Amino acid sequence: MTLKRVLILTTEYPPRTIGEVAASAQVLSKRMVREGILTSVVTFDDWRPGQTVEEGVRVCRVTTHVRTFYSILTWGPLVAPEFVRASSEIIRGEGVDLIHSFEWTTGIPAMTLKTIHNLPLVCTFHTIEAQRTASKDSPLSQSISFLEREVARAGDAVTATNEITAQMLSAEYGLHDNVHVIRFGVEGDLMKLLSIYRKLVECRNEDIDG
Amino acid sequence: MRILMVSWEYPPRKIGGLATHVYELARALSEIAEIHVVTCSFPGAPETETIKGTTVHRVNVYSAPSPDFLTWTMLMNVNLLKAGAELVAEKRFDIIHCHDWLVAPACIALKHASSSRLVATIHSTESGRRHGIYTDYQRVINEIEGWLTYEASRIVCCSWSMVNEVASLFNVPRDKIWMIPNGIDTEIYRPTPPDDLFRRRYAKQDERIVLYVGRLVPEKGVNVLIGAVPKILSVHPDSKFVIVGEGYAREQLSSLAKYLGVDHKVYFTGYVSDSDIRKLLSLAYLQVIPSIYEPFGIVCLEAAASGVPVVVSDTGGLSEIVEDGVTGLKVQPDNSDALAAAVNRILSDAALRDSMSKRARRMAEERFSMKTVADRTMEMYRTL
Repeated sequence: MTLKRVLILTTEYPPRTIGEVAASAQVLSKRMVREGILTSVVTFDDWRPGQTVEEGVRVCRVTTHVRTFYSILTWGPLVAPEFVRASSEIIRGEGVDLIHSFEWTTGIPAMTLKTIHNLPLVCTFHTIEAQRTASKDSPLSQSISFLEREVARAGDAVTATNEITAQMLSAEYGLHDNVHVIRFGVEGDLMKLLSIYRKLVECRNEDIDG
Repeated sequence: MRILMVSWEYPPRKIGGLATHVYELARALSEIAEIHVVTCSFPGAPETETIKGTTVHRVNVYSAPSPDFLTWTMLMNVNLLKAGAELVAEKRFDIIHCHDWLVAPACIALKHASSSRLVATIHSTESGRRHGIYTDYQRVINEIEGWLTYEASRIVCCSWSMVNEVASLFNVPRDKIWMIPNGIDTEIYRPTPPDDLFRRRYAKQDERIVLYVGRLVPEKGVNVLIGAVPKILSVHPDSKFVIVGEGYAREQLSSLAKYLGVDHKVYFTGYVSDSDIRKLLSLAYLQVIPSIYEPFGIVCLEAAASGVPVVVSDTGGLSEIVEDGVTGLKVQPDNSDALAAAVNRILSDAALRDSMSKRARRMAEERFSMKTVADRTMEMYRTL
């Protein structure tokens, strides 16, 4: 079985745009559609929950039952079950060959789906906490770093959108050789990512057959 | 049937009554179903073990520091979810049974990922514990509780007062809620002869022990008991008040006892093991449960099964367990004068104490055995 269906998990997808993640996820999903891959995106959007097809990409927007925002660290785990719900419906429906998550927030549901459905997981980081924070030793930053490490280590492949993040991922989370730099605006990088996808799906199929 | 229970406390990790409840329920159910419990790790306790038919999976949840308890709870859920997912990938569970909001995100995610049915026991509510919702911190917990009641196919409440509370707070249809009281192992908790040597740690030979067991937090109303102590001592100077438990209000309560000039008669023991609590029950003349808010009150059952008469606040589950004047005395909550009068009544009337003691024991055996609770829980599972 070859790569036919990809599930992308991201907390940002246009029109909900906070940083660079939304554009990266959209570029990737549209490119996968052009490759003939059935591409589903599960994303967060408080104002537009529901499912649509946008330029060939099936976009499923979820919201959270817990409306009060307390902190980013509580928000992530509280929105995760909704990502799991929407994703599981897609997996159980037409099936998925590979999951791609963006940042630690969607890494939490992605890890659960990978384990339960035995699917390969690619994790992308635009930055990591060590680059963003001014106080690396604060409990908040340490907790985010802990979650990033968990997600990064669960990934069968990890990608960074720039060299610095790739180096930081290796240094901070001990990932060594398996961090790939993938710039989503660069065609060659997207082709490289596609070959990583195909390799992971083949490996998974071999494991199942074996 | 295969059941996965998720609880943040399980023996030896005990914070409130939840650990004992989940332990006893799992043990009783394991005679008729395959039970797994996913819970938090505890120093010295094995990662995986089978205790009386229940397979316990303890998860390290202390890997990252947290700015506050709510954040810690959410990180705990990430860890519990990771372990739960591994288990669910290996075995198919018919039911995921979630104990309280603390583990709700993990349980809800596992439900959706696995297509198992979700059952939630709501042991208490944030609104009840805090007498309303006033801060964002409390609001988040309140919303998680509401979300859990929405996601669960069945909700278990331990008393009718909790059924009413959950139904009205979260707009839950009543046919989704099952009232299943907590149970007690009446073999473990039973009247036993007092250990005089042990007694010396807590009271003089001629003193009669008035016992309190529970967390030292405002909702438990220990301040009401301490407020009643001068009035009790004025009639029964031979009484000694043994306050068992820990909590953030301990210092405040200790200061109150000192302020009222009764600190020589009020002994704060701190944490006491279960076996020592049973020894204390064998020494107690009576037990006081002065809660302001009490969804059930497992300590009331422990006292009843041990043949110790109780004076309880007429609130929540306590109102439903105790038959006034028969198995104990009920008093208006948050009223030290009423509490003192009731305690004095039992201290003054040995015949009344003996009769209540016997009837309380019988009530525990007949209405609250673990077998009854397990059978009813299984009946509820089978409706799914």
